[in-house]
Amino acid sequence: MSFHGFPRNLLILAGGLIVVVNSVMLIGVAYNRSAESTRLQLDQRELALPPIWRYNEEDSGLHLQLRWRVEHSNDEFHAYRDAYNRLAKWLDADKLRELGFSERALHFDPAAPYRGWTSSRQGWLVLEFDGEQHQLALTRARGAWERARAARDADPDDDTLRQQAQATELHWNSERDEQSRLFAIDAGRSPSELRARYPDSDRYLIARGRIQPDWTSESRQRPDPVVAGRIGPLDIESIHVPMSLRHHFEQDLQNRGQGANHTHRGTVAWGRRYEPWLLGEQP
Amino acid sequence: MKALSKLQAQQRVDQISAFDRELDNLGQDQVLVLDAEQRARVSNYHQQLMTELGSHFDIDRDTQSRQLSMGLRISSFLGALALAASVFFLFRQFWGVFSTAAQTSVLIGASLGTLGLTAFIASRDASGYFTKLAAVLAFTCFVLNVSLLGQIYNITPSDMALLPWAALALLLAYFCQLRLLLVAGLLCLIAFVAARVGTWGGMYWLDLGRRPENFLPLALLLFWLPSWLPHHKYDGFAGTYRIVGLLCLLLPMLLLANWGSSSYLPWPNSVVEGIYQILGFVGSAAAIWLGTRRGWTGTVNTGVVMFVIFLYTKVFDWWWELMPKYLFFMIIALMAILLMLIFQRLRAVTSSASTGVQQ
Repeated sequence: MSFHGFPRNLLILAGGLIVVVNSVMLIGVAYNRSAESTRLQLDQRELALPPIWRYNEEDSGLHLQLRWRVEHSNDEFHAYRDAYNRLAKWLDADKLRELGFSERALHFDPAAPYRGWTSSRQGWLVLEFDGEQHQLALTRARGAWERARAARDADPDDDTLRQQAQATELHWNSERDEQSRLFAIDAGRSPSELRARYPDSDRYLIARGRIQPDWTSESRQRPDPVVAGRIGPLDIESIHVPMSLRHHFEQDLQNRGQGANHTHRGTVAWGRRYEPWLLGEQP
Repeated sequence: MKALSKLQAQQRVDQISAFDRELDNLGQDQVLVLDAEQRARVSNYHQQLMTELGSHFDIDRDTQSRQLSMGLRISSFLGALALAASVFFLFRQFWGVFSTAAQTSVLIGASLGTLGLTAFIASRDASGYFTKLAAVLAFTCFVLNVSLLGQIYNITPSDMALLPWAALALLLAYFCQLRLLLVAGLLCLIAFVAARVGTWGGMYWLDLGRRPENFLPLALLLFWLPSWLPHHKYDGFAGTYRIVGLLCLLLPMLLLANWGSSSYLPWPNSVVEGIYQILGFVGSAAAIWLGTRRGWTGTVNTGVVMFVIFLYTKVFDWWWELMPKYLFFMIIALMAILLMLIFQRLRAVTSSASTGVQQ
């Protein structure tokens, strides 16, 4: 075939490149799925459907968003953070040093208050599923509701107490039925070290994510601001739903935005490379 | 005839046209009148040369065909972008209705198929415009191939994807002499190096934009590459390397000149910003000087634009709050006039120097 002066060798190299890159990716997938590092049976609390604005007629793919939380403070209403602003209570200066952050990165500079965001690092995280942290969250929410209810019952004419009781009841219901049971509880520099500390693969998920030092707005005002670690998104939070498993989510997809409760469930496995895949509903 | 590039062939054709017009003028003014035999010899030689060049390259013989070629280039560029967008939305619309195996096959098949299509069109398209269109399509399909395969199998996003994208873009750019793909390839390469340098320091690769200094190592290399590896056969490639290299150097400097907290330098922000402001001015001025000396038009233009941006951002920082707006814009206008005078002077010096060389 004549190529009108176009160099044929470059095209052969390009073809080889496409074949090699795809082969490497697929071999990597096969390696990841050759053994499971974690398997969790999750439901709508941890596997969120895409928001309606993203799910339009021109996007036929379906991805589930992994929802997880982190303990932020002892405050009953704001104890846990999800999605945004995940400042972790347990990720203190010593822990951040252990993860490799320099003293300069941990020092608050009033002249550059947002320098923390230039110092993000990748780290390995442990996420506990339906464990102590979840029980603590339930206990806190239930305790707050019971105290507020008792106060309301003692003085039924007080509007403030009545509103507090309503709010804490909603919070308790949400904590029990809607909020994610997956909590980031620890971080380390290698997955093997973390797995040795948290060997139960049915409860503890090891995943990689972003960590950066930060300071709360209250802390910034103090003479000696206290650093805390902010946990960014995990490397993989969006889990693809293959067409063969899509029917498990079809009903909830139809019901979105109509106020109906979601009821979907899904078993997710994480492999040798800590990359997840959806297994459907089977245990 | 020695081996020429398409640009050199076009320049030769333009030279012949200009020569014919000037010869007519000289004849009308009775400065130089060739006799019939001489005129016929020159005309025959030029006809043969034009025929030979025309058989090798898609050249424009007159102004009209040059204008049409420009239209072709613009259509080809817009067509390539539209086709790439169309393929992206096509996949997005339908890929969810296929099984995983079918999705994988479609993605790999699309990459290989469009590459084959590029080869097929290249074998039939002497002008190269349709080949370039197909090459952009092949590159788009490969980018989609890697990114969608990553999504389907939940593969950890990695800067390593930038490397094969850069490689394919560069291979296709050199295959069909397409600067659009050269730029795409170089951008992927720059992003890869910046991300890699960042990850060596523990940074997450997608935060590559947060450390502008990571872009600097490759900038000088790209700028000087065409000086070490001549690109005579590839029209405009050398200039493209220099412009991309220069932007890769000066844009991070511009960011650091305004946000010193992103720097690795262990000094106060004001010191870091001051250093990069000076480096930005020096770098832009050096680009203008070097481009003028070497005849690198793109380098001069990029240097001028960046110099003006550095100047205006500084002027804004210093005076926007202090001055009434009419005075601020008056100073900007005076600066523009000053720059015009400087460039006029520079042009006069360059012209007299080149006249001196010719004498």
